[in-house]
Amino acid sequence: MAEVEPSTRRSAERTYLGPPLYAAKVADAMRVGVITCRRETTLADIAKMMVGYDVHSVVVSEVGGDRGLWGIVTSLDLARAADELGSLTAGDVASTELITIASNQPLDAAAELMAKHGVTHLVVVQPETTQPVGVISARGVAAAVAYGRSGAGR
Amino acid sequence: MSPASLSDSRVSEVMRHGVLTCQPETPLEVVARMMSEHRVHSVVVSNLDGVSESAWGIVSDVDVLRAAPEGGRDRAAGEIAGTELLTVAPDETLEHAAQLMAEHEITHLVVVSGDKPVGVISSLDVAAWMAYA
Repeated sequence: MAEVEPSTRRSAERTYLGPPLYAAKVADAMRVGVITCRRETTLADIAKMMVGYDVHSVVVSEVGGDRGLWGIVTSLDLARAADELGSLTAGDVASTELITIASNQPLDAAAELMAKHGVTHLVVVQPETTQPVGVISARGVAAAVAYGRSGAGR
Repeated sequence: MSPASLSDSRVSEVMRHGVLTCQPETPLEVVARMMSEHRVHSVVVSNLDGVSESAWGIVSDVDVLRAAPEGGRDRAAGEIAGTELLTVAPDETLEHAAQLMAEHEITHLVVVSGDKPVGVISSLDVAAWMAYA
């Protein structure tokens, strides 16, 4: 696992330069790139990935599977299994009901989807190919609320 | 070093010390900014009743995303503080904290000493402690 230097992962959301929430697209506020693991990755390794990248979810991918996605592991799943991090794998605890949204959708639609399903992360897919391209989090929406400015990003 | 165990580790060893605090009248926009700049998922709202410091609540990033489309970012922290308040004492075991998170499906607990919030512990803090032990 490559560790990320703390100094390089601090300011991603501070630089939100997009429009306000009502005018923003998912692509404006998402984190580009999906951090993935395999089904057989141990939960201990996933915990280290989450710390290294400062994220609360990791997507479990299946090589050659449907869009390469299979499930998602969140930090809550790790807390549930905290006594068995070394022996359990992503495949044992992942939620396979992946909620996705296209990058060209309105950002407030992502907020509604999270609220409806009671989740804090959605996998963002490319509209034409439905390939995963990033993740949008509740705090990503908060960044748009905080820094969104009329006329920005367009 | 022997591996850490959930029942031997205490919340105080793992928690993030200190809480970010705002007032009930702080606008949603400012609360959202605090979350982004400090990279946290919840902010403590103090003086909820306008009088006592022991009347406090929590605004989470989920509260922000629920409230933002409805009323814009001028709504105040005191109006939207809707997150279930789950607390834990610093001398509780990590096992207890992890169970609370699992039972209530909540990723952050407020660490309380006396009546006062003194820190936060997240599901990721618990997992990282166990993974690096």
